[in-house]
Amino acid sequence: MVAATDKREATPLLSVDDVAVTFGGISALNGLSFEMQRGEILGLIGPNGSGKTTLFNCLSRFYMPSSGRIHISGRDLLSLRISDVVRCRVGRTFQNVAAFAGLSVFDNIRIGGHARVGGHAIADALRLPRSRRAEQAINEVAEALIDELALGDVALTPVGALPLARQRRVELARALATDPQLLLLDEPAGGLNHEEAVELGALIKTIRDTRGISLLLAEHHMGLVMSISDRVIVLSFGRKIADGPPAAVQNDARVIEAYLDGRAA
Amino acid sequence: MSTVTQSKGGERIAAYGGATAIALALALPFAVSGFVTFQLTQVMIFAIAILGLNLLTGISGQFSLGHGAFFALGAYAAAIAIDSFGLHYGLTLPLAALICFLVGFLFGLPALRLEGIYLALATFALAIATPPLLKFSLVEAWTGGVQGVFLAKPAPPFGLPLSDDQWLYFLTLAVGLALYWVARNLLESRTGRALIAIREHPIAAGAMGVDLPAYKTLIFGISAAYAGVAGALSAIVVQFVAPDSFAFWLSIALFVGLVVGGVGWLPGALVGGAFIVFAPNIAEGVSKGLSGALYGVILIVLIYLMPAGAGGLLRQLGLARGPRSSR
Repeated sequence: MVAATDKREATPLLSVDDVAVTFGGISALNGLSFEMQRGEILGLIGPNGSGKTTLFNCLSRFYMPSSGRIHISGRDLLSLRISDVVRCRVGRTFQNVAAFAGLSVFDNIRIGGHARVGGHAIADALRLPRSRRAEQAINEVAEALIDELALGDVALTPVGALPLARQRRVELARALATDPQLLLLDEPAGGLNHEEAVELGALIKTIRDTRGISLLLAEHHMGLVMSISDRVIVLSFGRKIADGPPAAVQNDARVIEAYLDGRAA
Repeated sequence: MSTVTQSKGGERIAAYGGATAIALALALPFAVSGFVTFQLTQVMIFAIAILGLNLLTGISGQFSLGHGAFFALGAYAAAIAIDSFGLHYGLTLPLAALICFLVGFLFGLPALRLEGIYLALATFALAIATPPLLKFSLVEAWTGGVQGVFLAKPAPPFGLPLSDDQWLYFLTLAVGLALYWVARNLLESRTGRALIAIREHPIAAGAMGVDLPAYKTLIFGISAAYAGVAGALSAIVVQFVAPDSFAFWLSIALFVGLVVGGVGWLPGALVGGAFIVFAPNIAEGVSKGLSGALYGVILIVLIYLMPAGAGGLLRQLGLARGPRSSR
């Protein structure tokens, strides 16, 4: 693996190494290790409570693992502050849509562009040229995303007034506005109907193909995960029980068992 | 600007409204008595403090029931700088802003751990502690203890053909307009959006790269600086500071002014300022003995008629933009 000529190629985009998280004696993640390459779509599945969102919250620095290491492009993620995670180009969406509900679609996406430009409150307070240039840059990013994700008709509508599928799309646009290399999508198909989920799958593939970014997709919607993932990791009670191409994982006896158990419980 | 167009109608109403208000403000002191001019100056002073409180509460969602303390700090900073150190009164405004910014910023650090009503209580403690601290014997040489500090009334500079009251009115108006402009700029910038994001969804704001502790302490400092400038202006205009002018009721009054004007709507500060100055007078005019009760009745009626303050009322009539959006 280290024999690769280009060092950049050799360093995985994301490396999660022996990560464990415990909440009051209950183990939410246990010795989880995996790597992600650039441009990869990695599906993360598992029954409720298997640790998917816990992993996401470690990657966003909301939780501190009790042990283990996480590196992003070779950088120690666990030494970063929450607000610096996007500056290492890790973007995310949330399981229960964490949009700024009272703000317009346009403003939501503009906040996603917050870390894209430098800025200073004094420059903003006095409307210095520097501040206007930053504003211009953020507006351009937001307008391009509004066009790309076909949100033009609701650009000035408060996000809270939109149907769920569109709220999820706004959240996706907002995450893309952070200019991620790695995009974490936490159950993006949650609450979507079949048609909307298929549309979302196509959109995720397009995003990967046009931007060359990697996506980590935690999802219950099997059809979606199996159809768009290059690789799938299965979690059960905080442990990784399978890791491989979708077809292989689908037929893995332990995976079937975990899901049957989950359903029986 | 291909896909996103602003509602030009609302912009135009706001622009006309602003221009009319400024024209009216420029003409008023020549049409009313010196005492009314003095009262209007006080309205603007309270409006400046409420503007600062609105940046903190309306925009970033942090509560303060202690802004009277920053008002007092600004007033005393100005009074002591003029009285003990002979500083020109004009220079006391940036001085008060700086001191209050620093104190507000420092107070904002421990306040980071407090949310909602707990922060309101912590700031309220600040308000209650202020008068005794100002009377404290160790600082009496500067603060004048219970007696306070008396100042001379500044005369108009450059031989301007204005009365003292008119000059102070225009000085306050100029400072107020400048601070309004700054508040507006902040609100409509990247900084303003970051603050609104913190109010709307702090976790998501953090995930978008908004440095919560930095922005929360920053806006605490800025907000305190506004209150401090208002306090300094008050010291100059009233020519007197005393501990009991800054009892906890001042903090409550500022908060009431914020709510009456409309939380999150910047021009509402003027309505709030007017309420602070005139509502007790009106109540007293009706009945001296029951003025406190009448004040309460006026407040309840106002909140009943316009639950979202003056800003909310104008919004319902389609005359003002939403408080939540930054545009």
